Amino acid sequence: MTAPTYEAFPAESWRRRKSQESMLFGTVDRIVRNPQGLIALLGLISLVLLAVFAGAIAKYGPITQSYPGAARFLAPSWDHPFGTDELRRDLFARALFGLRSSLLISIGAVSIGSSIGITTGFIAGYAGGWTERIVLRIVDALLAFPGLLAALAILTILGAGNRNVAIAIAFFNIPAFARLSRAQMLGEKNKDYVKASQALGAGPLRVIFGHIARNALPPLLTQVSLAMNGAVLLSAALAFLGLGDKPPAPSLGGILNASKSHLRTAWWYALCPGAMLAFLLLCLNFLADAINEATSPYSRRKV
Amino acid sequence: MFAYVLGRILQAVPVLFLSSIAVFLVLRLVPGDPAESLAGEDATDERVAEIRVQLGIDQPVPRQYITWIGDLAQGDLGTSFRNGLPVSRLLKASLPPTLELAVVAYALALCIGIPLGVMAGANPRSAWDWLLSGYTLVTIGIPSFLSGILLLWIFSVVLGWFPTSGRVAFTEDPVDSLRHLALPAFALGTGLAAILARYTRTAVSEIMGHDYIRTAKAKGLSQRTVVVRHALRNSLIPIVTIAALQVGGVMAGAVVVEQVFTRPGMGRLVVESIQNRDYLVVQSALVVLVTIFVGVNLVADLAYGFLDPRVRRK
Repeated sequence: MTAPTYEAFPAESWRRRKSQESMLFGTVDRIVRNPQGLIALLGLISLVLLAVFAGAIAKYGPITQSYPGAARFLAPSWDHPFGTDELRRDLFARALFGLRSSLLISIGAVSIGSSIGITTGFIAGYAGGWTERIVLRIVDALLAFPGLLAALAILTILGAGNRNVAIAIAFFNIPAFARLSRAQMLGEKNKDYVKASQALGAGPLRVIFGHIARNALPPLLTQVSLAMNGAVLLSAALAFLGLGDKPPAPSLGGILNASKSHLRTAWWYALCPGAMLAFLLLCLNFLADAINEATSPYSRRKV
Repeated sequence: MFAYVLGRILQAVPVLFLSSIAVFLVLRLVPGDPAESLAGEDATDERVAEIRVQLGIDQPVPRQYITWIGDLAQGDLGTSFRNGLPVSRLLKASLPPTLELAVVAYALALCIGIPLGVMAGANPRSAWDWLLSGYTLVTIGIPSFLSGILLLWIFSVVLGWFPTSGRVAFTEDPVDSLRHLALPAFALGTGLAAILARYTRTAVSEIMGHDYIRTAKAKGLSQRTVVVRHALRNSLIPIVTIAALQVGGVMAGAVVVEQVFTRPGMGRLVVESIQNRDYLVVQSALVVLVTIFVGVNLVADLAYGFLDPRVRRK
C-alpha cells in the first residue's frame, strides 16, 4: 500500500494520456492490461480462428461417415482429437463446424437485436413524452419473459432451424438494449455539447447518431458481450432441444443431445464439445467483466 | 399495509394483461400460417380455408384475442390442434413434474447461494470469498444442460447411484421420487446458486461499509449477530428482488434440464408442440409460466413491505 500521491500528472502519465486520445483505444488498452480481459480476448480470437478455418483445420468433413480407418466410437487420438461418434463421424470436425454455426447465429442475432434495440432506445429517450412511455411499456412487457420462453414462442410459428433461432434470439435481445440505451440517452441529452449542436440547427437524427451515440455507445459494449454470452447459451440450449438445423447439420447443442445416449460407451462424446462450449462461455463472461471494468469510471481508478 | 398490498396486486393486473397480449401477438404477427402447415403441403385452398375457420383464425386478430382471453378466464384453454385433447388436461399432466423440479432446484439454489454470498460479503478476501470466486468460475461457463449431462455421466452411468431417466410422483414413492429428482435439481440449482451468491455478496458487502455496522461492532456484538441481524436484514431487499427474478430462469431452465434426464413435463410438451406447430398449446403453456413468474414477483414486491417499513409508508 503506497501513500496517495497528489501530483497533477501521475507517473505513468504518457500511457494514461495516450489512452485518453481515443475512447476505443483506451478501452481496448485497459481490457488487455486486465489479465481476465487478456485471457478472454486471446481465447475468443483462437476460437473464432478455429471456427473460420474449420474446413482447413479438421482432417475430415463434419458429416463424412466413410473414410479410410472409419470406425464407431474411436477414443480421442492424434487423428481424431475429440474421437468419433456412433455414425463414425469425426467429432472434432463436428465441434468446429458446430462452433462456427453457434458463433454465426450469435453474432447475427446480437447485431440485429442490438441495432434495433439501441435505435429504439435512443429515439425513445431523446423524444420523451408519449413515445418514451409507450416504448417503455412494451419493453417491460417483453422483459417479463425469460429469454428461452420468448424464443420458444417465436420458434413455434417460424418453425425450427438455425435462421429462425437467430431471429428469435435477436428479438429477445431488443428490450434489454432498448432499456439501457434509453438510460444512456437520458444521461447525455441535457449535456452542453448536445445543446450546442441543437443551437447550431442540427436535426434530431444528426444529434442522436452523430453526437450522442459516440458517447453513449461504449458503456453498451458490456451489454454486447453479455448478449453474446446469452446468445451462445440460448442457441446451444435450443439446438439441444432439437430446434436448430435438422441433423446431420453439426451444432454444439445437437452433439451434446446425441451424446446423452452414449455416455456409457463414449465419455469423450459429451466431454470434448462440452468443454469447448464452456470455454467459449467463460471467455465471453470474462470479456464482459473486463469491458465493464474498462468503461466504468469507478473501477477504472483502481487499475 | 392493506392499502400497500392492494395497490401492488392491482399493479400486477396490467402486467399480466400486457404479457398475455405479448404472447398472443408474437404468435400471430410472426409470419407463417398454422392452417397451411396443418393442412400439409399439397392441400387445396378450400381445405386451408376450412381449417382456418375451424381454428378461428379467420377472425380479425383483436377478436381472436378477446375470444381466447374470455375462454381463458373461464378455465377453457381450448383443444390441441394435433391430437384434439383439451389443452388444460395436457397442462395438468405436465405442470407438476416441472414445478417440482423448479421448486427443489430453486430451494437448493437459495440454500447454497445465500449463505455463501453472505459469508463472502461479510468477510471479503477470506476463504469464503475465494470459495465463491472459485465456485462462480466453475459454474459460469457450464450451462445447466451441460452440467446435467456431466452429472448423468458421473453419478448415473459410472457410479450408478441414481436412475438415468424418468420421474416418479412424490405421492407414489417419496424416496424414489427424490432419487429421480436429485440430479436434475442439482444441475439446475448449482448454476443459479452462483448468480444468487454473487448478488448477495455485493448487497451484503455494500451494507458492511455503513456506519451502523461499525456501531454494532463497537457495541461488542458478535460477528454473527452483526451479520445476521444488521447486515443481512438490510440487504434482503436486493436479494429478494434478484431471487424473484431468477424464477423465470428456473422455469426456463427446468424445461431444458427435463430433456437431459428424459423427464416428462412442460419441456417435452412445449418442444413437441413446437415441432407440431401446435401453437395453442405453446401459447397456453407460456401464459401459465409467465403467470407464475409475475405471481412470484408480486409476492416479492409484497415482501418488501414486510421487510422494510419505509416501503409500506410510501
